[in-house]
Amino acid sequence: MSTENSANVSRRQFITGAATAVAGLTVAPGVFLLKTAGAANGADPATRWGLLIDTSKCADGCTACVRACHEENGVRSLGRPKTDAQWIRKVTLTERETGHQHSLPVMCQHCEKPPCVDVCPTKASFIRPDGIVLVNKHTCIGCRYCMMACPYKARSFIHEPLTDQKPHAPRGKGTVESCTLCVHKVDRGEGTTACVEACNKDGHRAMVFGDLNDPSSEISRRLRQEGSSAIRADLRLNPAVRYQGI
Amino acid sequence: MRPGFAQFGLALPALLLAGLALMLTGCGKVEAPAPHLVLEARGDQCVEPTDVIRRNHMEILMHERDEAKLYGRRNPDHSFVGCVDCHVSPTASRDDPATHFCMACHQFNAVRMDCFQCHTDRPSDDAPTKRSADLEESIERHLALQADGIETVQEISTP
Repeated sequence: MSTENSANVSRRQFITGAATAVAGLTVAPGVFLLKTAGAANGADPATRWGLLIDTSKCADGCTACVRACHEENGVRSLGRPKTDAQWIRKVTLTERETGHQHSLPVMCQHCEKPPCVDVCPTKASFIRPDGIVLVNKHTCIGCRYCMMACPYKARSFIHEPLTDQKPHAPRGKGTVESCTLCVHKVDRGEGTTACVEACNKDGHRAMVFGDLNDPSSEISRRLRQEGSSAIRADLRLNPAVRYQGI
Repeated sequence: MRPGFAQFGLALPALLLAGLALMLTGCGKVEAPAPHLVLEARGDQCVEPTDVIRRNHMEILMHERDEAKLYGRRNPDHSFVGCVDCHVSPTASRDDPATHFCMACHQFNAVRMDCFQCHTDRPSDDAPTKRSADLEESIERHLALQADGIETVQEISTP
């Protein structure tokens, strides 16, 4: 009992004791800080977050982005590949005439006009002001219409109870989920995603994350100068994930 | 009086006493670790006065979750992760309500909540450093507001 006691007390002292030293000047016992006006302004409607993926730099057989994404968001295989959640997957394309192959990651394309949002009966599938398409799991009823509607097969349904989720990525049975464009990192102002970081770390530099509406951002500059294409551009969904070399 | 009866008369209270003692020790063993895990990780000062947070935490969380989820307007003072980071012991589990700050009270009051079906039931690994950084930031904001002449501190008289 005593060992457990001391371990936890020191933890508490670490959290609040260190804080008391800072707060001691202004906060006495019985005096409380009122609610702060510090809440961030939230998703900026002037921005639109997007990804640019250069498939010529994406190495065949490399799955660094997939591993990083699933590690970051606590997505684990339950040993049942047919129903395991996939937020991002590597796809290999083969040109029929020449046999030329290349490999690319596919995730939620964060469409400007997302079909998943159109079909959702509870408005749980929604698009944030900054263009990130998400599922509000508080209102998702697990009907899976969005999975049917998505032309990119980007969404997964959770069939089983989960444990040990990440604090920033709540996930649970009976709801649909997909790539969040690392919205927790975006909201913290980190300006990157786990997949992009992993790709850069491995030296491939095939992915760029940035604001499509900011003409001076790297992603906008490259899109303007080098051009790009969208998967299933014929559907005119205007996805925020753009590809080069396909 | 037969000797057997006298023996029985003495043995009965003794048996009852022994049984009672066993029951008490049994209770003690089951409940002993429970309050520690809950109490030790309870935090010292909450983001709101205790009576406010006790009565209204569900409204604060419910109201601000939509703001956070739909518009990304996150209030670090009222974040669900913040509650868990400060109040829940790293060794607690949602499956053992007696060890878990939130679950213990909810079970006692027979109020079912689904938060932990999706949200993690344990504090994040960097909870201590993150919380103190958050608090420092929060205090800086308060000081900045006070410099502008805005009152941000309230005296609460506890009964």
